[in-house]
Amino acid sequence: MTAVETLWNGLVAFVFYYPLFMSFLWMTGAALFWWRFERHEAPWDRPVPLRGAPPVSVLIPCFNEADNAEETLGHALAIDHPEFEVVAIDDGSTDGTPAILDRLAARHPRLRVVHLAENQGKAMALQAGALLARHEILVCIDGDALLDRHAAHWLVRHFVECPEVAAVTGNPRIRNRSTLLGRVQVGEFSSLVGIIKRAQRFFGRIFTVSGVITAFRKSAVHGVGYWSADVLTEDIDITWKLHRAGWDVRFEPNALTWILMPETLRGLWKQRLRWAMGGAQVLLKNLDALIRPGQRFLWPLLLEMCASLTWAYAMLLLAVMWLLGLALPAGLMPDVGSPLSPQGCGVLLGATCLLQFAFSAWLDGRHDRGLARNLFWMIWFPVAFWAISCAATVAAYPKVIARGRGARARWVSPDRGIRPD
Amino acid sequence: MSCSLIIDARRQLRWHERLLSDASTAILWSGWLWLCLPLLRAYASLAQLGPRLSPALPDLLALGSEDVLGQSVVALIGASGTLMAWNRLPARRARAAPALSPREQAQYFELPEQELRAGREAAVVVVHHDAQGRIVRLEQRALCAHAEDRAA
Repeated sequence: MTAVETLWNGLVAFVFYYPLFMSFLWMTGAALFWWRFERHEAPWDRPVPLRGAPPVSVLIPCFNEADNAEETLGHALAIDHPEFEVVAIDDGSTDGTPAILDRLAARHPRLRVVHLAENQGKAMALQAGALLARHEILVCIDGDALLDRHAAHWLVRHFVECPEVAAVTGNPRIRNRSTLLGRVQVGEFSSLVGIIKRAQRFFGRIFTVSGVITAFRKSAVHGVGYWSADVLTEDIDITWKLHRAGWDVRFEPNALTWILMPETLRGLWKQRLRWAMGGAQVLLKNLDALIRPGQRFLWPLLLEMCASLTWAYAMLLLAVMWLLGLALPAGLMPDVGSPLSPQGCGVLLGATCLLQFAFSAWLDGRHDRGLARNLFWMIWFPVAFWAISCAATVAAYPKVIARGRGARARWVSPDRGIRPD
Repeated sequence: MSCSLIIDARRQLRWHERLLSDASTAILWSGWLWLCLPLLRAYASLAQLGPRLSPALPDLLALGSEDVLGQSVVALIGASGTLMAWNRLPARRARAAPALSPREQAQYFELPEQELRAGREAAVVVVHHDAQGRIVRLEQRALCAHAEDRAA
């Protein structure tokens, strides 16, 4: 066997084995997390009362959220916590959001409104909210997210238990389940987000908090210079800043928030590309941690990010080689089977995806009843969603390198799915 | 609570959209189960049929062989153990200091402390930034008695 053939076979094996191995590793980590942290927990809707629970400020950045603001604020104002305030930050909205917020502030004494004179982006909105918040614990959610009434309790207990905790991220659950895309994402959020966060927390460090629900210790965020205004995913960036400063970042599966996700292909692509670009920005920004022994606790995460990036480009290479092999005369290209259609080993990959979803449905079923019904739609996951994630990763890096650093990140939420008439 | 928050407006989709997603998903399942058939048949009658059923079968059987399965389990346990051990290596730890005071925050943002304190007491505040994104002014705004009417 020539060196080229050996290299080629190695690449093919990597493309197949890497996702398979990671899937089983995540399931193992999630199972261990459940065994250690969740097994004896009180039911999520009947938490054990906390002694000396600190007051919290719920920060809600809103940009053109006229359709959602009232519902979001209604849920935030109804949380079960002894002392709290809700700070709605209007990020220079051009629709009816400012008037809605002012009207609600007149009605609810716990609600305060911060208007940014001009649109500044989510990171800057959070920064302004943190500046004007009265309390040390900040619970940050998005302008279209509905906070569960017990969420603050589950988040806050980590800050009470441990002074090394700087952030605790919650468990986002998807509300809109009308289309195929919506239903597949419901499964994706359980089988990927829920399982990976559990596994990462058990094995080491969490790659990112969920921007849609995370509680922060204000002094820790202040210490790392607040949220960066020039990254597309301020949540990934702040997580890494806190890790690098030596803080603990945790995942709390019982802290729920109900969110809206895109239900069109265009909206989904825009969202995934932004996530991939944000991840790329953070990887490039933090790559230097690999040569700093003091930051070695981040090495597994960095290696995983590098491996995932390599996997995406290797997959692209195999797909191109396969297509060229179809187009060119026989013998010119190595004999490559289709990396896009499930044959042979692909059956195992599909089965692993379904197993991962079934496991996650068991883990998160108590928070989200009827989750297992989505198994029917999850057959799409190994086909469509891997292709979208792979394509987004491949597209993201050139874009990030071309974009450079320092440009202010401003974005508009993609479509929020179909709303009932 | 969760049930009432779920939005399932599938009936609002046009009939052909519903049919397309249902049918394509059913086809994917059929395709996947069809690909699994050789494996199921092979386990049912491995001795008689051998790996002649499908070109995919040798791959699947090789993956399920004791050697590969054993190696995979060892790799999984090894990786899990390594990660857990790695996480226990000594590392720099940050600890919570006393809660952040308005003075410290005012100094960081180069704002008058009184302005910040007043802003925290106000129900409505307007924040002004300069071109570089630095906060330059906090302006208190009184709650308009007719805000509700205006919004309506």
